[in-house]
Amino acid sequence: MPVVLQASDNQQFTIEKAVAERSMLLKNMLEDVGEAGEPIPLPNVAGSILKKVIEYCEHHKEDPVPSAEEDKDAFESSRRKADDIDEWDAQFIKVGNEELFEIILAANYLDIKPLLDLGCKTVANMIKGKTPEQIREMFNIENDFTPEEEDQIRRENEWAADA
Amino acid sequence: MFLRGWLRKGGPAELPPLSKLDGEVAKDDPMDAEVDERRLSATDSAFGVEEIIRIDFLTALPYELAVNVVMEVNDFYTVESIAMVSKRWRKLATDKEVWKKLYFGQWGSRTPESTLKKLRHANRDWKRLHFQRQLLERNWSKGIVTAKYLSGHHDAVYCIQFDHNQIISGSRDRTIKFWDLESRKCTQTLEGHKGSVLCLQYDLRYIVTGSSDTTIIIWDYETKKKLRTLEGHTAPVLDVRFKDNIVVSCSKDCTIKIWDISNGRLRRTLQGHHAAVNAIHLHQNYVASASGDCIIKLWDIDTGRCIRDFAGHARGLACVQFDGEYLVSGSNDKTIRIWNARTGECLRTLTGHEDLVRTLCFDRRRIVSGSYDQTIKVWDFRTGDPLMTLKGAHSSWVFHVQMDAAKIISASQDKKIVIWDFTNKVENVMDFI
Repeated sequence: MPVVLQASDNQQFTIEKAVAERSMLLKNMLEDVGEAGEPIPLPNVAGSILKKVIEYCEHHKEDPVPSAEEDKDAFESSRRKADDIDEWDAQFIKVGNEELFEIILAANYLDIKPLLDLGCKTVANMIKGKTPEQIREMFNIENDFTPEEEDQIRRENEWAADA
Repeated sequence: MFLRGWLRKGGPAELPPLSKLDGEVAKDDPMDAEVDERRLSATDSAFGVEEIIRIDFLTALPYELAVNVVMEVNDFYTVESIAMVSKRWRKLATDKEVWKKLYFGQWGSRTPESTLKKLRHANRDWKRLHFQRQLLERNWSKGIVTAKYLSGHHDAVYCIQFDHNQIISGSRDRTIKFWDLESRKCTQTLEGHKGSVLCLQYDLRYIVTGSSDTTIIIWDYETKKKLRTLEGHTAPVLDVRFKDNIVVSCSKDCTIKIWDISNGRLRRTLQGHHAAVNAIHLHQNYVASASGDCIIKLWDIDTGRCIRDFAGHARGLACVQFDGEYLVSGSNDKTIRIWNARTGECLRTLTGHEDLVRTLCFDRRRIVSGSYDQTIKVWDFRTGDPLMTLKGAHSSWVFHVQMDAAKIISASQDKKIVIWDFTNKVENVMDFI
């Protein structure tokens, strides 16, 4: 039984149930209310982004379903590295900053953990290895520290470097 | 679009040349090439100038998601950078969960499992703890170490084992002594063997000791009473290890024996070495044995079969340790060898000691060895490079070494036990060992 999703701009997408179920939000909803055949409204996701998210879910529809209550504490997850992105995912996430930003928000809202991780990793990779100046430049961020605060931070870091 | 208000757009005037930015970034970052080439969609290029949208992701994203991003960064250098970008970024980079993850990522594999278990649910200043741990590492690499003595045995100290609170030692004076690590005072002395105490191992159930009187004694850890004596070897018991319900011993009589702890019965005798078996080590179902016949053997405890020989040392073996994957041995040929336990291949030969390598221990980071040349050496496990030589504290042969993240403890023919302490200025040491 296919599922119909309706984006914030009223665009509709008809997808397989298995694809929809990559989203925990949709999976739970389908379980709870059954399949009415009515379009499911997703007022937080624009059509262009939803399309992209569906593309991801299509590709990953065969992936093993992560156990819902997997308690990943700091120790377990520490073994993952930000750079272990598979090739298809890496191509998929080569998008503009704005789109990337919206994909992260959509993945969070739709509760698609692997996609959320992919988005966060991608941003993390943009930041990795950069100096504060390079980061400010890249994201157009204003340095809002007062000179006193900057001084304090510098001192703290000296302490760290001496340690 | 709803997020419009959160975006910051960099005007063309403030844009640095792209190449300049790219030049700064690490080559192995797969995203770098794309980052600065991203262009606005048609609707946004109203000015006819192509702009790059520069989103301050960590400010625009909800806090928990921004924390996720910082956790994915997962490297100290960058997290320090993030902390200096702006107030908002600083708040994220000082987030407890971020530092907890960084801490476990960096130090988890080098912390004993029992300590990790406690730490996982503990409340710590993770950033501070990281710097303390790093300071400890720095002491090791710079050789900042203090030697402290424990005196009390009346003759050579052959063997030691320590935990968080105590050291237990065995001596040629036929006694077993208990020492408080903090005060370095002897708290108790056990007598029972009719000869030198050559080897020992303990856990919270038993203390097992082997002696030149050819027997093994199993003591109750709590009451310190003798539970039983294992007799069967026909020459001094040179090394003893136990786990679960079995004791494995090796002897100058060229055999290895496997005993039941609960009833003291001899389960099996492993024969195959042609000279004294000087040392053994247990890992899971395997026992590694090192003999004066220049061979190391790996045995299956369940079947009693010898699985593999490790040949290469030019003279007799004095010590061996085995972690399932690697086997490290020390020999009368003055060298240490690292072996692939699965294939029997010798991976590396470490030279530097000027006499027999009598004792060693290792983790995947370093090897510590003690020699008849009266020194203790620390080696880099991966490269095989010598890192430091500890000398001056012992005035005779070194018989035994054991280490943890904070110290090395050594026992010598000179009757002394020495604690080589690397914790100068380091706090929270108990979280590391």
